[in-house]
Amino acid sequence: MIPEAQSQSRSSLLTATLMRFGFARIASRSVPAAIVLVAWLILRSMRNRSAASMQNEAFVTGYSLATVCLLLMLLGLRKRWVGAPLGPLAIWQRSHHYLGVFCVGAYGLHAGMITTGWFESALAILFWAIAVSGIVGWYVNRTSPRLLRAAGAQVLRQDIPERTTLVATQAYELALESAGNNHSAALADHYRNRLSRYFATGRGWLYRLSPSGSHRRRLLSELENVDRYLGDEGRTLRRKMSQLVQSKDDLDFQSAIQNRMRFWASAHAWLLGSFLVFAVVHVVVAHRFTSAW
Amino acid sequence: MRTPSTDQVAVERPVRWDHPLDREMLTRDIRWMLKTPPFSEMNADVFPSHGSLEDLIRHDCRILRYEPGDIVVREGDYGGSAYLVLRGSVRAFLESLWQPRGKPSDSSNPSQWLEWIYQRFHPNRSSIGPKTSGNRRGRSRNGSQLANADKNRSIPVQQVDIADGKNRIFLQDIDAVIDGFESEPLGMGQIFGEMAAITRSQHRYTVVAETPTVILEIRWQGLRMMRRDKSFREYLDNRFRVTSLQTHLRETPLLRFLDDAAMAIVLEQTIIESLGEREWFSDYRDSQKLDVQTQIAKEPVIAAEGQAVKDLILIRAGFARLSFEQGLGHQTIAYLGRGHVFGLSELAHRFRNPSSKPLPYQESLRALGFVDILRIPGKIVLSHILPKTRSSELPKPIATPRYTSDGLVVSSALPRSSLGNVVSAEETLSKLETSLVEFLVDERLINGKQTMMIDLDRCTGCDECLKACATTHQGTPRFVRNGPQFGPLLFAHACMHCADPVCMIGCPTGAIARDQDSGVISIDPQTCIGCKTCSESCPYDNIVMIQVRDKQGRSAVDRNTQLPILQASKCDMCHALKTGPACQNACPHQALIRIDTSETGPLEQWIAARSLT
Repeated sequence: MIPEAQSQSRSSLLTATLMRFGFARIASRSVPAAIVLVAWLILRSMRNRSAASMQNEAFVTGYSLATVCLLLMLLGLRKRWVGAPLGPLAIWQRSHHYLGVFCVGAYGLHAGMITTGWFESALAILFWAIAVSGIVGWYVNRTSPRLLRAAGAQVLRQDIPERTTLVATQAYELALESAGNNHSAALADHYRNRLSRYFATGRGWLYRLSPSGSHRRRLLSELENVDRYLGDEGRTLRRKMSQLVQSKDDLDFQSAIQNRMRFWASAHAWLLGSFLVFAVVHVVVAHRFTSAW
Repeated sequence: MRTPSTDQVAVERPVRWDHPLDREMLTRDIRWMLKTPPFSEMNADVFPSHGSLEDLIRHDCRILRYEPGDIVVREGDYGGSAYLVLRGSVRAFLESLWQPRGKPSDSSNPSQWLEWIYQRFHPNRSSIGPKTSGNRRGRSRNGSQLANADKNRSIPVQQVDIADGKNRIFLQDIDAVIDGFESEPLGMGQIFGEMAAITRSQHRYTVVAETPTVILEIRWQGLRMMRRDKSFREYLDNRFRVTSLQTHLRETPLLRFLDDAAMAIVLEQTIIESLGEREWFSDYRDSQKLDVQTQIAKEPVIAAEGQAVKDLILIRAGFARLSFEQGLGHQTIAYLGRGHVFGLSELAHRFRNPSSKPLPYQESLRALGFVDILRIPGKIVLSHILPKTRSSELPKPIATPRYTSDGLVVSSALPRSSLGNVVSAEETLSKLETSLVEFLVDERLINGKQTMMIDLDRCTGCDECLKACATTHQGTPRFVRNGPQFGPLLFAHACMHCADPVCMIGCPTGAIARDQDSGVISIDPQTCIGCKTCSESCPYDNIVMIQVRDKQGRSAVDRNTQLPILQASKCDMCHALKTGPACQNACPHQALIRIDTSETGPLEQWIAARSLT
């Protein structure tokens, strides 16, 4: 390909990419990211200048870090200030994410990757736990809505126990209906042996941590195998039972995903509270035992 | 009799007319009015003893006094009352005096935005008051200042004065305004504003006092009761039909180049027609249980596909379904609302090709609930309207008709909208997914002006929206985060502040009303008597009855029966907050928005924007 054509092709590819993802979309992500980078470079320069002038550079980075931590906390306060003319919460949330990234960078400048002493180590562990919980929470928030939607119409978290009980009752009644008939008695047996526990109880901690469809698939497969012992009437009932197994699994899935999102949000907030207590002690100790700024 | 428990408080049950419109109404004024037309001509026997004509005047009316130039009703404001001239005279302006308030109509025009922002931050730079924003000044309906300048007439300027402790808004130099704009005088005994009050819609014209005037305001609850009198009802209906016909035709862009003679012919030949029930919500719940095709079959047909085009149809109020036959059913391709036209493509085809055979209607039009339409005969359109219409404003030619005069064309073209360019909606409507349009129509979400829509691809169920709503409303959220769902779009059970708010129809006290400026429908807790009429009327289950509580949190019970005192509760768009609805502001994922679904444009724009972010 001649260079001119190559260049044209590259520019058209760039234009197509920009058009596809949208200028606004790219700008909305790249501009704040650039601001975070510039802020970090400024902080690093301030730290280096402070070190060069024989001052304690930890105070520059430490107080910057403390300021950023306080700013990060503002999101929680903003949620409580309903009606105050402070802009949409979505903007605060997004700013919180970018500030969080900056906070990790500032922490790197302040404490480095390795800390010594039990108190400082505990503080470091708390900091990284907050950072990890924040990142996981962000990821979970980004991915969970689509997972929830894949499991049928969204069910409100508070409605899930009621719906689960309803499905279990329907399954029990279906088993009762099939019990008195030779054409479908095998279904009642199968319900007693394999399904009653599934309908009556919640899922294990492993499922709650990482919900998957393997158990449901196994149960459905087992149910299909019962068909050979059923008449036409029994098969109809079996299909209804399969639908109920699917419904129960969907509800369990909705519950697990919604609880997972809440867990990470709560964990992030609780860890932040603990971190603040440690951080205040850290500041007092630093001032007490450090000779000069 | 049971006694209330410690967490209850016994109160007197609120009843209708606890809060009359005018507490200072004098008995001698009422007696004088009863001797004055139209009240003197009413048959007092048709009114029940618990709601006599005297009671209606005492509780649902108030006397207002105006000086020359005072604005009585303003175009664009939502109406809730009719006005009867008792003394003096007023002028009803038949053409628009200002551009409607709100954001600039052309959002892509930076200069309009700059002007709008300037006016937002400098309200005092214009000579109008706080409730009359500045962008009205010096602008015609289409936003062009030249339109007024060309006609060399003064631009109405609103002034605010305080008289008797109340804001008085008046037009400066009323004589010049009357000279410059087409208006109609209304004198003693004449009624105006009843159209907006009955249809729960915006005033289409401004009315200004010409002389010192005394006016009786009749709130629509009272007006509805007064319609029991046959002669008064016929008078109102006749006036409603004539006025609405004139107003609508004058506002139709397609007719704007018509001279007075042609307009008079169109006015004379046009037929106003109403289809469906005004109180459509009562049948709607039952019909929703039927399958979709049966529902469609039950809808009144305004025009059927394949039939010869007799009329051009203009939608005046309500909504209509645009569909065509598909297999054994009907496929909905759009919904038409106020201002849309039907049949223009076919008539334009005939106008362009006078020698060829005329095409029949290409789609069917059916009434959704209640619809007011105007029928302009096709021959009048061909002889008087289309010759004076710019060719660029005519719809695109029908290249591949679905129907010809010989019947259905086998393997005809894909769905084609028959909306003309004059409504500039052809492209917009065709961009929305057909199944989404069908869903909006079937669920009657087309009625929503502030529909709460949640993008389930973003909603994490964090309940920040509910918490914010509860915080704003004394701990009780005003919506349920659940409702009809289409793909990732959840239309939550929150008041949609409908284009046609049927909840307002039966309210006996006027507690539920639409704000004149914002169009928000809210319930006044002081006047709500908990009769459940609104909650039972709402087809969307967006109004719930809650138990009244005092400041200590004790639930109120009836002093006599010990039954709980209930009150209707619904979303009020957080009108007390300057920041707008708390739910939308509190969503951290930008998943929740309030959107106008009565038009397809906002939804289409939102979907396009969302696909990019």
